[in-house]
Amino acid sequence: MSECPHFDHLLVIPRLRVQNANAISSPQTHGFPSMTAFLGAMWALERRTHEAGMDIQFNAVGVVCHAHQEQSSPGQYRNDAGAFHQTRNPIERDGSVAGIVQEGRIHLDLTLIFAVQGNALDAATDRGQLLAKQVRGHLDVMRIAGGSVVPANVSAHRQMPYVVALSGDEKGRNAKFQSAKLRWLPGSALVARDDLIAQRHQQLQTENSGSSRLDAWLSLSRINWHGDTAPGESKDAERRTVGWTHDRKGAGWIVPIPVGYGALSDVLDADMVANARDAETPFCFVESLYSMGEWLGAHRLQSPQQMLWYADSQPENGLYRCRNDYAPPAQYDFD
Amino acid sequence: MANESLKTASVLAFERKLDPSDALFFAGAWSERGASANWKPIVINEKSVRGTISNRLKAGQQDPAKLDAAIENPNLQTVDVAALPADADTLKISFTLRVLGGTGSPSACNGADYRLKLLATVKSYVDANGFGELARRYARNLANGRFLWRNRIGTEAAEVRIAHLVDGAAKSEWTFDALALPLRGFDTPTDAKIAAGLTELATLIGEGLAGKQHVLLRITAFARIGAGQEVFPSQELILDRSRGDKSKTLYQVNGIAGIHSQKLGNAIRTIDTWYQESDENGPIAVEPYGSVTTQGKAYRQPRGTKDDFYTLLDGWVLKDKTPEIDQQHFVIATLIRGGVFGEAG
Repeated sequence: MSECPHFDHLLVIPRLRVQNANAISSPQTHGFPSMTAFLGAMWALERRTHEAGMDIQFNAVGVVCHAHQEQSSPGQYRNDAGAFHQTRNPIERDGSVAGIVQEGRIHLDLTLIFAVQGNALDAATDRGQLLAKQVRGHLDVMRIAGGSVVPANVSAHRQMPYVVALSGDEKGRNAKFQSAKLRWLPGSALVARDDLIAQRHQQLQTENSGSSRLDAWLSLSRINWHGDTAPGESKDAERRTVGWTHDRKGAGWIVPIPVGYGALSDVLDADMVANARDAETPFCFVESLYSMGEWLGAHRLQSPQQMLWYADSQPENGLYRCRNDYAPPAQYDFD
Repeated sequence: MANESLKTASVLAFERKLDPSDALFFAGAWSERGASANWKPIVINEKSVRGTISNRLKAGQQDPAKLDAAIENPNLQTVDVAALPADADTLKISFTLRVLGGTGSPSACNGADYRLKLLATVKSYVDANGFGELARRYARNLANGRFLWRNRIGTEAAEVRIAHLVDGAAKSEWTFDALALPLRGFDTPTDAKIAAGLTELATLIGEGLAGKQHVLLRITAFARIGAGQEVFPSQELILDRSRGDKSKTLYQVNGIAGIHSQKLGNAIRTIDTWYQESDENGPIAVEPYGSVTTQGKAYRQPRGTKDDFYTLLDGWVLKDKTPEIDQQHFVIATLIRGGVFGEAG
């Protein structure tokens, strides 16, 4: 397992409004764009800034979400997406109505935190601010998860990008991060909770030895209600009330997420697959990989590594996934 | 030089170069539009009405007894509605518009030769014409308030304010009387002041399209509709609506009524007067087949008039048959619109 790459600065683009981003993050999940989309945006940004002659290396990305509005109508259940709102497209050439390609869209208010390093940043601080502004300029004309970046409805001052220099010793770095994270409130950051799957898997195996990790993932993706037999004695055994409990209590804001791609084929040479988008890059057929994530209030983060996502490519194993180094704090029982 | 082996790329897509945000609705008094920052947002309310059944019946359904029964039944529906409050007579609609450079450069293209030829073709157009004509028309559509759609109809007065934003602050600002600029033509207005404002705005949009600078405009429109009158946000398209649901859902952004960005984009690119029936029909939105949804008709037919986007583009790029200048404007405007234009392999 790889580790988060080294970085010495955080480049923060606060309060970015993304309109009509893709809300369907994988064939199984919806509600927030996949982390892979933000990594992709980071690489596209790195290419643009390099072309513009800026010496910054982008190593990892963290996303704090302040507000989200999925374009859907509630369904029968409270947390059910129901139906996505669609767009009506221009009619066909013969005047008939064009088929609707169903898509899910979401409006987001985000703060993007890039872990960066580069000689340009080590110079004077005011230089860093200027650089952050230039990066923001590049981001303005890009798409993020398929959505357009539009001006947010907050004061210009709060949208101003900035650089946090994580210099000094461990203690100094920590203090800088602790004060930086307070500017991202109210907001939640997505962290990886791969450990939950193993935990649930173990639990399920005690009930049924045949259960798989997929069962564990599915079990975590929903709310499981269990009826217990009523406590106490009742004269009429048939009319005993049953107490219902669910397994979400105290679990936090746990969501199923896609974390990258697993290869279905060998890596094929460029130009070998017909109709590929790009004739210069090797091609590989993939499927989505799934894990669990947790939305964590930004104030709960203890270090930047807890929220940063980075790429972990293992072509030899056919794994192209993003990783996050969050580890849940140990649970102490004070009772 | 025509290249015989050149083929349209099977993957060919362009991003939109005029990127509007959603428009939001606010209400206030016409006399106070100078200080509109604190105007109240317009919210969407739900109402349930007892309607009548009045749809046209099929021929087979006209059994008198059944007909009576059907028609006498009430038609209960729940719909969304948005209106100005009783103490405000003016609707304010505001949105931003980003103008991006790089027209003609596809966002996805799997044919390297085709891409080069396409870029050269677009460059030859820009070298000869610039983006002047297109920018002039886009500017006109912002100034005349076409993006107000139904809210423009029947207004007593309408004013559009456009600001060029740099670092979040207005660098320059223009004010137009929207009703003084008719929707049908793109002739230069006789009023010298309005004409000058339009020219400045068009120059700015042209520079944005040419990639000389990155342009962000803030558009604020005021329409004096009358206190308590209904206003018209976008309607949501919901496919799997179950029975008993609301039959009309209006668009809202964080509780504020709004118009979809797509609908604003359609109004801004309503500049096509180069199709055959434009004299009677007026300008239509730039679409590959010249399709007009409200009329259920496509004005640029590949079979009949051969002035659809694909015929023109293929002729221009693959066969070096340069279209007339009007049709060149149309092709470039379609590239600015964006879309997926690849040829099925």
